[in-house]
Amino acid sequence: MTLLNKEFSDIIKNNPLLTKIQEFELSKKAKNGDLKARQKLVESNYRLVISISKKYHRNNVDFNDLLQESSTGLLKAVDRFDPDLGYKFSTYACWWIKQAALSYINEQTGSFKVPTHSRMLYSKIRHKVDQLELETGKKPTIKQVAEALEESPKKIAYTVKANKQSISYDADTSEDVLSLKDKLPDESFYSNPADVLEKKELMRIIKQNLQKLSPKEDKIIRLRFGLEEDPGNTTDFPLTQEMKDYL
Amino acid sequence: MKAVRNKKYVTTNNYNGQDYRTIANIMTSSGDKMNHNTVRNIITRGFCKVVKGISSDYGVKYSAEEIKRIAQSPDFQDSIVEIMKGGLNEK
Repeated sequence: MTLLNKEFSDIIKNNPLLTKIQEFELSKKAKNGDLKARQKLVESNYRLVISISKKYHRNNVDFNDLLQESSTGLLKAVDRFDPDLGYKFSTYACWWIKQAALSYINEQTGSFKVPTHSRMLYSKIRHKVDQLELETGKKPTIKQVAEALEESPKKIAYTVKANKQSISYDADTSEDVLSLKDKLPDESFYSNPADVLEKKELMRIIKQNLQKLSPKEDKIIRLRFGLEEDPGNTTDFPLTQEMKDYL
Repeated sequence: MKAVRNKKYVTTNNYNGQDYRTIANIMTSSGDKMNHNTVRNIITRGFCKVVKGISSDYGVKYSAEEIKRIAQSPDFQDSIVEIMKGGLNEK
């Protein structure tokens, strides 16, 4: 449950919803520089901020912080609202509040910042992938998702890559007190020196035996498995059509 | 349900390598006349040499058939190719 700051509850209690005429008059006055009218307009619309913030509240985000950030969206809406256009203030304000809330959540999620539009696209991609998977019974390819969303495959691939979740080595897992770092196997030399030495010895033996290959065998195996000896040697390693196109 | 099958073939696509016929053409044009079957046999022979060497270093005796089977195993070839790649990087 989200607990509301006492300050916010008091503001809501003391400011009932405005009528359309009151809203129009206050907006007009606020536009002409009346600070009291501006404040009244802001305080009377805090309900909207709370309602939107509740929708966007996630476990990793503090609710009161989210309220504060969403309020900046309300302030922007108050300053930019044009009452002469005839729309209700809440219709206009909700977009600014949503934008502020999403922007804040975006900053809090993940260890590095990804642009909000990219996060929004990623969310669309995830929904589309689920939808296509339900319809076809198998995971869709990037091309299929790109076609369904009318975006380029390159953009889809880039967005998926940019939005990959990262976790901290030191973060505690929910199941127990051990962090991820404690669960990862130690593969360093010191954890199992005998095993490491054995592997090194095997590598030495294999490399030594690879020396026994005749020059002809060595060349053919390298050609067969694409092991380039000299990147400039296009006689023994002819360029593929793809490479020619690339160049 | 589909049964999980072991890897049966080594595909050169994984390595950007050439097919037997292309290799045969390259070798023929550089003076070693051969066809695609010879290329395949030379590759098997090369891997057989490596298997033989490793087994004798470890004091294990394999029959010629066993050596050929190991040499043709995709997993073994994969590992050797990875080591050869590593060897190139070390240079």
